[in-house]
Amino acid sequence: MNWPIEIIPDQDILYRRVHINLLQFSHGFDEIPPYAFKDNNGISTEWNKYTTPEESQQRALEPNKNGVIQIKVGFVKQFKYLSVDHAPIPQNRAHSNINGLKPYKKEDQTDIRKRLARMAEWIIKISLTF
Amino acid sequence: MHIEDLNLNDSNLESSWIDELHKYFTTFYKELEETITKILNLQENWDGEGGTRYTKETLYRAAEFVKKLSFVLWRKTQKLISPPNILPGPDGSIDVHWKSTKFDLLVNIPENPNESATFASDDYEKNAVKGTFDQKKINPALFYWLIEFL
Repeated sequence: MNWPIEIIPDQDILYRRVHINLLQFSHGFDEIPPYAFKDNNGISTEWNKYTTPEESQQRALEPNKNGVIQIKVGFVKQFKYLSVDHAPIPQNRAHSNINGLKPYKKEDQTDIRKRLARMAEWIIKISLTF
Repeated sequence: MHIEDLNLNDSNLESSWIDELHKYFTTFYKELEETITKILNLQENWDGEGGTRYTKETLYRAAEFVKKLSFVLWRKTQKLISPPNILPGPDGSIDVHWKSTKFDLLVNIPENPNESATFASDDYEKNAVKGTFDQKKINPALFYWLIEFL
């Protein structure tokens, strides 16, 4: 199914999965590491209009090894060149990308990752069992 | 401080300070080594999103940076900075993250040793600093920024 592409309002929420492997390195497990906002041809997220945090978690290859964080669209758009683009795929209407991080200067990318990690919060936490 | 601390003579003071430093750096270095081992053990796609493996060279460069910065800060101020989180970064780089109630500092050490490292920090209010530096040197702006928070 080809879903129509929509504009995502600033007050809406994006979900993003965070793998448990990333949490073993932080001193406090509540902390969201800046790596969570690594740009891999865009930062892949899911729009809360078409999904729930639980559904997002279940779409991971290993759901029990993934937590879910959330961030408000308006927070992302505070950064002048970042955009939040709805990018639905047949099996996931919620799929959306945060685009525009890579063209920033390297030190700005570092700054933005740090700030996005601070603005985000856990919606489904996972416990570390290493 | 305890009342007996007031009676310490110079040699006692020196030895307790050295003990304190020794304890700090031993723990600090041990933690660094443990983190390096954990990151080196990450396999391809460790994050479920195609995450790559990290090289020993990048990790040891990040560790050297942390050791050097902690030492020069101590030498200048006689104060010890708390150990940072050493974290996987994007594209084979390593993130070094200090986060306290006073400041948030992220340093990124790239995989390529000839590429500049980057840093960005703020005090959660209006003061912020960011920049790049040669991986073999400590950036003076970063150094003096950190002194404010020790």
